[in-house]
Amino acid sequence: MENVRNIIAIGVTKVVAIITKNIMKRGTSLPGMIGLKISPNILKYVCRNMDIVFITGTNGKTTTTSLVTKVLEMDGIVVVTNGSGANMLNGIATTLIYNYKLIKKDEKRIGVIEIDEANVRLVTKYITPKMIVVTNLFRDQLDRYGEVYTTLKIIEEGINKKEIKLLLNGDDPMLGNVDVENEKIYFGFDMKNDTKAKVNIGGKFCTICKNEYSYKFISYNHLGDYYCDKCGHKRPMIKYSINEVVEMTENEMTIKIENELLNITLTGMYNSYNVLCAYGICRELGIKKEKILEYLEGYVEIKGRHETIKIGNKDVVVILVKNPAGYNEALMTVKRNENSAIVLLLNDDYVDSRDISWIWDVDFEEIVSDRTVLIGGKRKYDMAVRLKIAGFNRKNFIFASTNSELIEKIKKCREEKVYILATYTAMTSLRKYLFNNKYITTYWE
Amino acid sequence: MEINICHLYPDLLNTYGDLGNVLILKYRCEKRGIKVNITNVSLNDEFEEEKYDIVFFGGGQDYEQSIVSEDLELKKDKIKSYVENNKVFLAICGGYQLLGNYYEKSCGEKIKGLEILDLYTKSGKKRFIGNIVIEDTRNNVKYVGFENHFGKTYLGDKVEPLGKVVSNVGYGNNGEDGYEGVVYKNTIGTYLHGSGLSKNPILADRIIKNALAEKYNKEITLKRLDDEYEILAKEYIINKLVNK
Repeated sequence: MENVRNIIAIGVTKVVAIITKNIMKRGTSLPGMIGLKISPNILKYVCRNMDIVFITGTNGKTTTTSLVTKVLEMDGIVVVTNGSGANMLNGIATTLIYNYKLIKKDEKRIGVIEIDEANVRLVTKYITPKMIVVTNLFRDQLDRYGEVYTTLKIIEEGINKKEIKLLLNGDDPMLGNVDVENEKIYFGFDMKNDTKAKVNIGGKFCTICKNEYSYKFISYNHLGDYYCDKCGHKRPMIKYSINEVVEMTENEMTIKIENELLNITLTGMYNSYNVLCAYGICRELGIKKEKILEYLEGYVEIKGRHETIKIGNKDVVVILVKNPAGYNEALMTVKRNENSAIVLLLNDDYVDSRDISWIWDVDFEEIVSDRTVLIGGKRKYDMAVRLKIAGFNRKNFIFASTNSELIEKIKKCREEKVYILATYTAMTSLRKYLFNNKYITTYWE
Repeated sequence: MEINICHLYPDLLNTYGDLGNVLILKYRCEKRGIKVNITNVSLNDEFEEEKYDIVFFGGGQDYEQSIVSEDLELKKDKIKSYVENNKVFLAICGGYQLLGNYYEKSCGEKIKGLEILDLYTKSGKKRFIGNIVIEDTRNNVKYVGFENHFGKTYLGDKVEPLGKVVSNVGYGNNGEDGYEGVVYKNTIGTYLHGSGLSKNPILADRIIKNALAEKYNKEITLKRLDDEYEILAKEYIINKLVNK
């Protein structure tokens, strides 16, 4: 009876998924929701012959998921994976059920699932993953969960079975004291630079005795080789490490992982963590070191996160920004190119964070110059106030209320290179416009 | 003229972009030729009350706030005499709560506050999150911001609210009596993030004016600034939440 129910659930979910995807051109959560209604055990059933890895954390989930998927697929493994638009319970259910097939002999399947922090505990009620990965914990969308410490607690609640292995960012003090007995493996930087964390960031006070951490090395924000000189709490032993950043340019970087050189078309410190994290996951899944590095070298940046688009005669780079840490990293990219214009799009829908206070924690002061500044999104005037206070000259401000107006104004600006920094819904709306008007060929969700 | 701003615990109480308030005060002073010095006062630093004209006290997460409350014991008397001497003080969210008599946790445990303002805070059952518009009837002006707090604050007889909630959503101090914030002498406490002063230039100028009047002991008139963006940003929230 149970199996009949599951098979019906799979059938219905697949049909609904095909309808919503092809006819309604939207929606990834409805099919999974229906599947779960028909049979609450459906996820356990469709995952029974498959190892599952959950990837969660504030920043880097999508890139890490994409990197792991690429490596595993190149190694001949069948991978079931979801998009960032489907990283909550129902969306994950849609992905897992829709991709369910009877396993062929000798076929290996792995689920590489990006999962929203608050949804870990909802999904682990139904399935037990082999591994849960936490990329980092930054302040992000504080209006959703209240505080970073609350987010950590919510994730801990999801780690409900002893056999789940944890792969954690060892450089993140927020993850140095995860209160569960599971096996924990850490990744981080094996380098030195003796710096002090900036005043305006979170997570730099000892999670045990509340003293301010010292660092032997800071990569960015509060991440690094931390230690407390009062109680002795320090970074845990690192299993997978980056030993050197050899070069970082606008489009690529060369780093040393476990003393082996890797050149990859991703750049920025945050991406070096994503690469290292993906490397660690693949190692834990049993892929050989040389193979992983070889596959990573062939990686090409996924759409939307950092792609270059031609608009008129401008080279336009679109970057998704959703919290101060990510925003500051994006501004570093802008800063490397002094002769570029910037477009800042700020929305305040639920997924963007309804509270836009966080723009005051972004260091716009760092990129003040005479460049053209295009401002759009529902909260454009809040952004204008922020930039004015940062020291930008308002005579360089141009406002745009719609995507078509924005594109026309981009075409007319004097700079050849344009960076668009957009919050989530501003970005999806812009991409839809670009797709409909044939500036891009794929509509990423 | 010159203004000295003291930013209390900027490295610990820095969660919701409240640092913006200090940047805004500085900007608005400098536009008028008033020199600004900012002193960061944190753990184990001395609070030198006579040196400051404006003190800013922001909000933080519970963990960081617990670190601060231990250190505050050492600064308590001086902060109290600063406030009692009519000097200008702005406290947001956690800072606002800490100025009161106590914070009562959900388990009933009471954490002592600075006991400077006649108010107390109790842990609530749900978090009050969202945009909010309040009206300051004494000055006939609306303020907008984003509130995000668990604590429910109740005012005593010796203090007055900053304003009344006028948006059709929004909770204010406790979601019960309709009040938001506190005013006592030249001290203002509020739950408004945003940063709070970013869309409320009138409130920012009131703070600057009071600080200068107190310091130079004379009537102060501030030059008007171009607040076009601030007003447009404020109107966006008002149009969304009021007049419907």
